[in-house]
Amino acid sequence: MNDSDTLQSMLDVDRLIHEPARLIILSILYVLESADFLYLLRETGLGKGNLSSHLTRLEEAEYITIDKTYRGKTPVTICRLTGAGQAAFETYREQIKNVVTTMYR
Amino acid sequence: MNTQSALNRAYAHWLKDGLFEIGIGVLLTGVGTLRAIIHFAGEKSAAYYWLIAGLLVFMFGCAFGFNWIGKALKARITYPRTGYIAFKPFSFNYKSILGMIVLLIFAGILGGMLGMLSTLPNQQKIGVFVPIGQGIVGALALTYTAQRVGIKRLYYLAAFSIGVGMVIGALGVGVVLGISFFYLCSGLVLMVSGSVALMQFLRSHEPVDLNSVSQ
Repeated sequence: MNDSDTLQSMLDVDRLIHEPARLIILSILYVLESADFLYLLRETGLGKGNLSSHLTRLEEAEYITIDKTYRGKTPVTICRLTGAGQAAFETYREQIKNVVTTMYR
Repeated sequence: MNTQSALNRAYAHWLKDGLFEIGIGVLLTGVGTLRAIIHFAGEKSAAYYWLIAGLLVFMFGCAFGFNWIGKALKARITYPRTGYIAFKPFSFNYKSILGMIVLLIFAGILGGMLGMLSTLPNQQKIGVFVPIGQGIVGALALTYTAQRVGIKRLYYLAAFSIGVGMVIGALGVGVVLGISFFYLCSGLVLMVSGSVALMQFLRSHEPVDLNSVSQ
C-alpha cells in the first residue's frame, strides 16, 4: 500500500467509532470485561442522555451488548464489547496508526 | 484516551476506595503475627504444628475469603458511588507466561536465599539486611503501581516500606523475626492507610441514584 492509498484509507475508517465520545467508550470497554453505565458516565464526562444515545448506537451496530439487570433492588446497566466490536476497534486503530505514520514520514 | 491509560484509570478506580489495601493489610498483619508467635513458641513446642497449620489455614482463608468479602463490599460501597467494572480474565498469552516464569524464578531465588540465610549462624548480622531488602522490594512495587495508576498515597507507603525495613534491620532481630515484624508493621500501616482512603472515598462520593442514571 503506497502513501496515497494509506491516506485514502482515512475515508474508509469506521465513522461510528471515529466519533470522539464513542471512541472513548470503546477504548474503555476494550480493556475491560464489562463496565456499568455509572462508570462510563464518570469516565467519559458525558451527560446521561448523551451517553445513553451513544451506547444505543453502538448496540445497534452490534459493537456492544447492554444488559439491564438488578443489584439488589437497584437497576444496573452493564455494557460489554462484542467480538465484532473488538475487531472493528482493532481495525480502526490500525487504520489510524497507518495514516498518522504516513503523515509524519 | 489510549487503551493503556483507560486500563490504568480502571486500576486506579479499583484501588481508590482503599478496600484492597485493608485486605492486604489484614493478610500481612495475620501472617506476621502468626509467624512471630511460631518463632517464639519454638520447634519443640506442642503447639508448633498447630500454629503452622493455623498459618496455612489463615493464608488460604484470606485468599478465598477476600474474594467473596471483597466483592460484597465493593457491591455495597464502591459500585453505587463510582460504578462497576470487571477486569478481563487472565489470559495465557506469550507475555503473561513469560512474566509468570520471571516472577516464579525471582520468588524461587528470593525464597531460597531467605531459607539459606535463616540457617546460617550469625543471625543478628544477616538479619540487618533482610528487612532492608524487603523494604526496598516493597517500595519498588508500590512506586511502580503509584506511577502507573497515579495514586499519591502509594508513594508515601513506598517511603514507609523503606523506612520500616531500615528500622527493623537496625534492631537486628534476626532473619525470621525481621521478616515477621516487617509483615506486621506493613500490614498495620496498610490497614490504617486503607481505612483513611475508605473514609475519604465515602466522604467525597455520595451514592448515585441509579434509577435516575440508568438509561
